[in-house]
Amino acid sequence: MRCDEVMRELNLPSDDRDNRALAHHLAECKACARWAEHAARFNRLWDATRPVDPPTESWDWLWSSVTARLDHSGPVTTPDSRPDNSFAAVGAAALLQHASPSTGSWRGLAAIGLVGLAQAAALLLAVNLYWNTSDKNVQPPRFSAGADVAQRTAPSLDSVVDVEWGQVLLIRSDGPKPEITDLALLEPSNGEDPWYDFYNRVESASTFLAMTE
Amino acid sequence: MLDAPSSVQTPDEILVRRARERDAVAREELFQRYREDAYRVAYRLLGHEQDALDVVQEALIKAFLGLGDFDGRSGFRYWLLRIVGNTALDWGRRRKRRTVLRIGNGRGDLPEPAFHDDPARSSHQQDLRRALDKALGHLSPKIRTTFVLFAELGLSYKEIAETQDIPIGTVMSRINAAREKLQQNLDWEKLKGLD
Repeated sequence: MRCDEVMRELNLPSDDRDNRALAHHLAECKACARWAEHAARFNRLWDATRPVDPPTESWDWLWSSVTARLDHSGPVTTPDSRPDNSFAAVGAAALLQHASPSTGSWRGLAAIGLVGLAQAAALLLAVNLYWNTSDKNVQPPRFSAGADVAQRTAPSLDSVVDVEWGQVLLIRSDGPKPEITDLALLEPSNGEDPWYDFYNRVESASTFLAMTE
Repeated sequence: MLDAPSSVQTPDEILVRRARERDAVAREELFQRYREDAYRVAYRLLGHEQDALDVVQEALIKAFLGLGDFDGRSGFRYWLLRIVGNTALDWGRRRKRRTVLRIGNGRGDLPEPAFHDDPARSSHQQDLRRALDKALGHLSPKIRTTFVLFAELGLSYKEIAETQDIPIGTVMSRINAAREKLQQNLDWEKLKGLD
């Protein structure tokens, strides 16, 4: 047995090892013997820290949460039956995926609400952009009380935002100028996907204007 | 004398097919079969019991909702473990970033587990766990996951390769790299009680 084979052999379950050849090599090679001793010590540490199985009530609780969530979802989709990737569907699904299930119900609802708000804000933004970039003499239409509130709290954009096909833009304003971020171009940091980044940015934005695809 | 034959288990493929059709019994059977594997992997990747349970819950929801995407090439167990691994790593990254605001017991829906009845044992074990978790934390997520599947569940190289969708050679090199790094990063002076 060669030295490089010792490491591989020691990684095998003890029943599968060539114990005789291994013992012979370890008796003659000090470096491998030391390595084997360290490996055994590490295995003892691993065994000493094995997790204790959760109590039955934790499993029961967990499973009832899972089934409650599954019961409220639609049928399992297959690639053929999947609906179109509309903004709302994709956004809600992505946000729901990132929502913690233990806090799943409220986070899930919050995510859906967020997407709905984003769509409403996008609509208001579009109307606002239209009135800001078209004939100023024309009076803007009157909105209902709810829309008035939205207009008061949401800052307006003075520039036209060109949205290209395939772009996922987050438009927000924390200061005097709105910030427009193309989420599709974001470099994933630490292996995180743009939706995760989007989620963080939404959380950190004091004023959230709109998101569009 | 021969033992009486044990009852034949329904194969996973059949359970998966039934679960796709929203069969609650099939879902629960799959849950019962693999919940402990899932928990142990999540626990080793996160080092925290409650977070591990949260991850198992999230992974199960993802798995059952995404059964339409399961092509059956690898077994359901490996597919679920892959989801658990990815969910745990994602969870770990989120945990690092977020400022946790805990209200009440701060654990959402799940009851706080009380796994350690013996305080002395618990304290010693927690020291060991902290040391090991710290060392595991120095491994890259991919290497850590490979090693956890190997050391905690005792999966073979082939099974790990299936779970992570990587060549067997990569599994072997990751395990060796993990062992070497863990050996280096552990403070064995403080862990003398293990000898």
